[in-house]
Amino acid sequence: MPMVPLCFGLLLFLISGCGASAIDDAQAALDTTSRVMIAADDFVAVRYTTEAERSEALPHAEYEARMGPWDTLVDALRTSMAALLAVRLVLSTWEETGDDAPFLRQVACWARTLEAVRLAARTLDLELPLPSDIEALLPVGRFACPDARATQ
Amino acid sequence: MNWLRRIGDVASGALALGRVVVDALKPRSAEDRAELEERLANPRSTDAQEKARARRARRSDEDDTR
Repeated sequence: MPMVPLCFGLLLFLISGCGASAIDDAQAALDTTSRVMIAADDFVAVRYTTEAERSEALPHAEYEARMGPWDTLVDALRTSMAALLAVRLVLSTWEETGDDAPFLRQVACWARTLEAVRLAARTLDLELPLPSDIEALLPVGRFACPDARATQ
Repeated sequence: MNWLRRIGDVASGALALGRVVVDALKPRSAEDRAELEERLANPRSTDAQEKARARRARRSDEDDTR
């Protein structure tokens, strides 16, 4: 999926970038990344509905077993989209203070949530248009998610 | 028919990303960004999940009544 490397290339560009346009670049990268997540959400919504309708006549335990992994995926996607929304909101802090650290930390936290989505999709053998290696691209330490460190 | 579903998945993903590419080339307004944030805050997959659970609960109630 060529769009995924592109949008994360943009994210990395803003991470390494400097000068007056870095925030604009970040905003553009976030818009594109948001659209990728929304496209994945639309796709999962359709597949979830199809799977639920197909399973509707099953006994309770079987229904729960069939839909459990789908519920995990939907929950992970919701968490990840909320984390991306938080990245968008914290961009204003960067604009106001000139300090990009909160923004970069939030990007790292979002990357963590994305990993959960990827794992849930893999359990279902589902092809989702999501990146797989953003964390590997983020330099360790400076961009670590504080919440993740607290739970380790 | 698993391979057929897989091809369908890949094609749907490619189409969705095609739309993303086209959208990414358009200039963004404040309204566009508000719309993106609204969508991020209200995932359609969650909506689908809630509707499916409600349907399932209704069905269980009906089965219990019989």
